[in-house]
Amino acid sequence: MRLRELYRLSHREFTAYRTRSRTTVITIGILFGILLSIVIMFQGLENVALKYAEYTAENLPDESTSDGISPYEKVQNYFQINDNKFVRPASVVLLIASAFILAFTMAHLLSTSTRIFVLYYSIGASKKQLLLIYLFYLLEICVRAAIFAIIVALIIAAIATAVSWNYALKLMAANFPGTPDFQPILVGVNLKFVGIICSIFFIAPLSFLLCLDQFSYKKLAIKLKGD
Amino acid sequence: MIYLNNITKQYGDKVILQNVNLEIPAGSFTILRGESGAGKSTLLNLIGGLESPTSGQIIVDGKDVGKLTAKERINFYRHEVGIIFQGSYLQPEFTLMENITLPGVFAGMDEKARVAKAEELAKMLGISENLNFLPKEVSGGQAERACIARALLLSPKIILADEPTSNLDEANARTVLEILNSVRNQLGVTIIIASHSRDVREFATQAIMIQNGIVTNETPRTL
Repeated sequence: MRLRELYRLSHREFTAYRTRSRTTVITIGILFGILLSIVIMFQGLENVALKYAEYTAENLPDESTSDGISPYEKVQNYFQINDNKFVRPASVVLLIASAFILAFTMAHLLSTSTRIFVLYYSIGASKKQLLLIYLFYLLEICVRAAIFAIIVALIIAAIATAVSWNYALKLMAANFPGTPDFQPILVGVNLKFVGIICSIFFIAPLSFLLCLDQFSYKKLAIKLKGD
Repeated sequence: MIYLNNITKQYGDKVILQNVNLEIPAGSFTILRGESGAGKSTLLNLIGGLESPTSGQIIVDGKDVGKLTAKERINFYRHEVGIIFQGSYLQPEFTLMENITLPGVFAGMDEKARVAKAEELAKMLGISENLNFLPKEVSGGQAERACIARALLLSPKIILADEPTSNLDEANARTVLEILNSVRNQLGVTIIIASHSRDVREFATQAIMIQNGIVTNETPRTL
């Protein structure tokens, strides 16, 4: 079975259950979008703070290294500590929650798909082909959720930047006296951002494993009896 | 040749079929008769390997259908049996062409070959003009013919049809039965059909009555 044919069959599941599929995309997208927005705002704030720290180190030597640590290192340490405290645990929790949401969607889809299963098996689909169709369906949801999450994150970050503009300037001025104003744009991309996007794609196989037993011939026989 | 040896099928305490012994010759047009809930669909599902009997053996073309390995089962569905489900079940999001060629997709058939075969079958069944339409855009009779074409794509030896005419008017129902009989005559396919239609008697070479779980052979004309 070619990739194009596989996509056509898996996309059929998406369009046949459009409302549920879109709801799942939006739910996972919002969950990860919020996490991504925190990551990019955090990174954005760090980037801004580092600009101030660099300026302080280069142009105001009396203001820096009062305790032997450069302003640059202080800023990095501060953000590193808070990053480990919050972002990583939140990513894991969100990943597990999203896996369950996807598994729930999948379970519901499979429970209403008896006729499709019977049809596909009866026209010679192998179990592997059937598994691939539904795995691709899950991956399509993940791709759409990832795109939606990025859009949500950027919107939140843009709004946060606009709302906190003056406050951020005051905050930086208080922590880095004598420095000029730098634009406090709270948008920054780092490897964690990429990692979180990639982790969305681990949800598909994870939730798939939770529903694997639905594809057995025995289960099909039970479904047929139920119908 | 299809043999059913001492077949019993029950769901829990409910016995659907008991001690069924049948022979269905190759190339026959066999009709299954009985009231709703008598077990016609169950018998078709058993022959088609979609369900396993509680006890007994079903031999299709020398193979015990209940003991097929996964690979043998796939082969069975691809090359031995073509199934027409009740209600002309076509994927509503796919055109008739896409529906008809689906078995070829799963079998790894070359795209050009399966399209060519689908066009040939569509011409034989009188639906060449409708191949690019969705199922909702064609009539019930045309949809049913598309189901027949899908069942024939990989040249099976047996067609199992579960009430293929139940949703059709008299004229279309007769046309579908004529097509199935024509397919049997032209291609030597064994047709096993569960149907309430009186017209089907005209084409039947064998009739099977299912009543209270008991299966008996009948002369088609007496039904």
